[in-house]
Amino acid sequence: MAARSGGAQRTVHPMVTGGSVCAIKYADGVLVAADTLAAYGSLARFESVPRMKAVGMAHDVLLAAGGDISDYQQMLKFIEAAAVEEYAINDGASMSASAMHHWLTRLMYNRRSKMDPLWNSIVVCGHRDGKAYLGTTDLYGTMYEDNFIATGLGAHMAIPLMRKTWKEGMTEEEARALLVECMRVLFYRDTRASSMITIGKACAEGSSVGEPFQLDTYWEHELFVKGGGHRGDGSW
Amino acid sequence: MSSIGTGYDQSTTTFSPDGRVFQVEYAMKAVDNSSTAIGIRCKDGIAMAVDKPVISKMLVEGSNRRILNVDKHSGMCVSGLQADARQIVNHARDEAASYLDFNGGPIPGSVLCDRVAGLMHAYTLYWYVRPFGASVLIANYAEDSPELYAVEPSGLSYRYLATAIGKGKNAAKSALEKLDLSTLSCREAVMECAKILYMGHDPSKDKPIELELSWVCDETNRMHQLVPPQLKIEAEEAAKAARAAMDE
Amino acid sequence: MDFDRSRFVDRELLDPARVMEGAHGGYGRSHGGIHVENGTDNSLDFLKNPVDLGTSIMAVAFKGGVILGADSRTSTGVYIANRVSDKVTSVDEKIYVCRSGSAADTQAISDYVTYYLDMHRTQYGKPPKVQTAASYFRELCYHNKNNLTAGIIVAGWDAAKGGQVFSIPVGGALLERPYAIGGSGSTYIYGFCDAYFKPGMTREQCEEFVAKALSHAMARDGSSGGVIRMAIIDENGVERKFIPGNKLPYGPL
Repeated sequence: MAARSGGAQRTVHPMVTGGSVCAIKYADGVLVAADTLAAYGSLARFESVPRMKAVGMAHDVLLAAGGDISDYQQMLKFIEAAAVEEYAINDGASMSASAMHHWLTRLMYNRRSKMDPLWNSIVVCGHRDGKAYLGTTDLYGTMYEDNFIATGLGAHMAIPLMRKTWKEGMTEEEARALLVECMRVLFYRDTRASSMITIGKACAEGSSVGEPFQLDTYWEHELFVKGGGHRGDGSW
Repeated sequence: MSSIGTGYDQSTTTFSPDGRVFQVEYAMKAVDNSSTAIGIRCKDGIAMAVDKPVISKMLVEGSNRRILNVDKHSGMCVSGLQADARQIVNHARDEAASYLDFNGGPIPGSVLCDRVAGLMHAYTLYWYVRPFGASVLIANYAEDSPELYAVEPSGLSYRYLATAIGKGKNAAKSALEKLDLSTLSCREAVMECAKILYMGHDPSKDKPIELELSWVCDETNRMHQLVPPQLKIEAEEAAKAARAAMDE
Repeated sequence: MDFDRSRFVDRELLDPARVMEGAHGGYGRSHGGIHVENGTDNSLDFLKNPVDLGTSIMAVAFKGGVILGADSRTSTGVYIANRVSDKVTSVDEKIYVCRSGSAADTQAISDYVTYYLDMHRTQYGKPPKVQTAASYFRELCYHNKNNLTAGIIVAGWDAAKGGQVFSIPVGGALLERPYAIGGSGSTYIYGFCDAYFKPGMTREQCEEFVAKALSHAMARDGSSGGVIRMAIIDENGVERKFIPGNKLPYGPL
């Protein structure tokens, strides 16, 4: 930040932030997972902050986000305004997940071009006409679609797990288990992650966000309990 | 209209010697020439209805809508010059959207009504614009109780339990007065709306009409929308039956 | 390495305990054209610095109402500019705010919100909702985030939803909470609050919670201190309370 040298400088820094988002396609649609922590730097400041929401007029889109929470909230306001406009026009058309993903990407790219980015990584999920949609956009407006997506530290630590385990046509149980495993690894290894997570779903019945629940964790490997890292067992 | 302008009717910026603004009265005349629109406020919501003349057999069903959504919780039913009415609705949509954006909650009926009335009144003040040739009913059911308003071309607005505008307003109003609005449910109000509109329509004499029926109530989760097709059919059947019974 | 206190990350590195104080104050003072070289704690350079509410503030909702509380210290650098300030500010009859960050910024924002709420009350003809007030604060804090240092807790009572607490941290997120703490002193009492707070506390229990939490924050935070001021808001109105600096409920539970 070059404020003291004068000249317009609008680049902000994220203050209250959310962490990784993991999402995968499965047989009936898309599942997405995120924890419920809003951190303030390294301070775990706000628990139980929702980071995913069913959006759009038809409620068949699910938007999950990491990064700055205030920017995410502003984005939700933009989406709500667009949804009300669609409702008013009332011609039966509504933004699909794909349409909304492209629209949000333009929004984010425009903002980064003004040197005033929306400081988020978003994951857009949806299900319409029997087809699942899963895509992501970062704060620069880079977008792509994939069968599985992880943002934040998840891009480094969850993606390898997904590559290993994901296959076409997973059942909901298999998909949930994979997401929980990803979130657990992130909880073990990401300083900004919490063990309270929500899983959202976009399928033929529309999109919905589940109740937050606590991850099961395991700390009692024999050598963990024993301690004494000098033996090279990883417990230093 | 009891007197004509005698030169004082060309502009909204000149009063007549007896203190009238004729252009505004002519605008209201445009509403009185247009199809009837009615609104009923019940405990659990608001029902609105309007008939549209079917101007051509080739017209696509449902075109030229006269009941429009303003916000999720709010709708408008219009009568008068359609192009003018659309302008009012668009303005109301902007007002509702900007209120939501700044206040973080749905616009209350009283505020929406004030804003719309303010716009319509402003169009009676300047030589370079003409008044809107349309009246609107506003149905609003947000965080307060359900509210029904009517705004006239003059910019006057009233809150009603039930009211009617347009060609058949007098007959409709006297029919509305007979209803027990303290017990009526919104679903019943939809039926009554259809009945009243059909009463004022003589199929042997008048042009064919198409009905528009909308409601915003607890049953619709406080969303303003056209009534479901099934309910519309039921309402129209009941209305036709009631009319036939009257004719006998 | 050139540290800059207007950057959150730098601030965290410089002094993790004071990240919540925002861009002004603290050690590496450099903001808004006033760049202080070698600012030591006993020089008079602090006079050039903006007045900061290094603060302990909190608000708790209980059944039927809400309690706001704050310490009373306002400092410029190491000097206590005011030892009896009132950081619990009214923006409407039954809506109050606790302010932290820059005193000037938060006063200006509160003035704007008071004005907007007055306008809203006149137009709407009814007392505004707490949500509405919180939305105004969010709007101002979010859209001017680059020029403001303001961490605000909005709390109050309205007929629709009763007592409510909204936290608007630096950056302009809007988060409704059962209770909220803020200001530099709050960092020391997260553990206390986690352990002490439970949902469904009575008004009396909440008062005690606020008094104890703030006393402990004020004891450990040099930028907080003085007296505790509280506002208790319910359907019937507002009651103000005052705990003098020598009668704070500090110590073992």
